[in-house]
Amino acid sequence: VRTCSIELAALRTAEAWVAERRTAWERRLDRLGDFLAEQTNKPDQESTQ
Amino acid sequence: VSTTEKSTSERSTVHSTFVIERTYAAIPERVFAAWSDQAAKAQWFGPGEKHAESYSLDFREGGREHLSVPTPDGAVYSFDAVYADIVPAQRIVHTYDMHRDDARISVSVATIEFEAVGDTTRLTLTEQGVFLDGLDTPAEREHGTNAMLDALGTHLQGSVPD
Repeated sequence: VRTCSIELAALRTAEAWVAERRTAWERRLDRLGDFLAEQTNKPDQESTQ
Repeated sequence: VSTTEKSTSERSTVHSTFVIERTYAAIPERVFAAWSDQAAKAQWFGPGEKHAESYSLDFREGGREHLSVPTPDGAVYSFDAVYADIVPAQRIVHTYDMHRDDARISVSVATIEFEAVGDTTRLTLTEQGVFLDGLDTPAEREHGTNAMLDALGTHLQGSVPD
């Protein structure tokens, strides 16, 4: 019973890590969208010279 | 399998795969450039300017990327990647591991695919990883253990014979 319980705790923690990792990527990809939108709104500095 | 100083009960592996899709109003070449240029990627990849951090990117097959982020509790999380496969404007495959201080949390393969859809780009990120040893902070471990005990208590209550 004890071994089973410890493994269950480790599993729950790993599940939390996976959820956190996914959330971290989602935040990054949202910021990538913001970054691309800012680039689009700003005139391209090199080509406007 | 492992015969290190940790007991078997502290060694665990959990495998996970997840997929995230986004569509961006830009052509694949522009979206790809945000991944391939260090200055561009630094603007969206890290946690933001308010955190002290170190970041470097050597974007070529065999090249490495490093990001480390200190947290308020004093621990430092680090991301270390190696680029395995690069097809400009189409695909990036990199492997990376994550550490909390000196402890390895996970090892992953992440594939980023770029597909032109009209004037936009559909980006698909697939991460396949192994999470090691249920690694966590003591507080999280306590929380996990408490949650486990609660679940066990509920289970025992539910299984009381009539």
